[in-house]
Amino acid sequence: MHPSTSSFSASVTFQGTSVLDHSTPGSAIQSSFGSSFVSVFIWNSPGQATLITEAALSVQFLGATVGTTSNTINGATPQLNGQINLTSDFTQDKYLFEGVYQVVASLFDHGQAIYNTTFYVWVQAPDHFTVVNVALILIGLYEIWQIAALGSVRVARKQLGLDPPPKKESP
Amino acid sequence: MAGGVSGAASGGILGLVFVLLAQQFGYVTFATLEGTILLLVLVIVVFAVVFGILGRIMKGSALKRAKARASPEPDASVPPPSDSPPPPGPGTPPTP
Repeated sequence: MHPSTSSFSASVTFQGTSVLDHSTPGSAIQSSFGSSFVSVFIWNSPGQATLITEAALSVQFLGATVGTTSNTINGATPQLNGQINLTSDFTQDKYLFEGVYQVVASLFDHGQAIYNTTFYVWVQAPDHFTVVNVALILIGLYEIWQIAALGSVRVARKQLGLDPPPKKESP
Repeated sequence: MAGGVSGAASGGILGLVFVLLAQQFGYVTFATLEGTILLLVLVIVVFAVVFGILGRIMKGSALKRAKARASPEPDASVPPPSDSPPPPGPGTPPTP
């Protein structure tokens, strides 16, 4: 049974922080992939019993969902209130990437979303040392070197078909 | 011309790297596709134009210097042919 909009309310905490205060990128919750984290979904439906079968967190990137972690309640029954704890573990991504990401927290009744809320998480790697960062910095340095090579007289002489300049002899 | 194109290409890649690094360091959020594309196009175009102009100037300067060095330089050890008398030696009285 789906709840009426007026009687159903829910709240989500991420690592002990209410996600309501972190709905913009500037107020993103600081986190890391160093250890697992817990999200707590609490819901109330005083008017009528509501069936909640699943709680999920979806990570958004370029407007699409790139990762989902969820907790499904087996044999769930309609209730007036409830709580679902969701433990997520992204430690395998600890040295892969970082950044600010939009996360959607949802409560489902057999696949149909009953509640959605959006918040932002700022994932930080230790000393910003990630595979993506190192690769980007190397590409950037290579391109800077390419631009600097445009001003090289040696390269210009080669393009003009001239011999390379003689090496200076030591006295 | 070639310097400008090379500089613009490198500048465009630098712009892309700059935006991706900004996202990694938490200054930019790639939440929506439209906003991300707009930001990427804007930054890449600006970087490409700036580094294209820079590359063209640098390439032109390098070619100019290479041509200047290619022209024969006078040898300092050989005295230049001149009709003027040789310089006076030590002890030579100054001519009035």
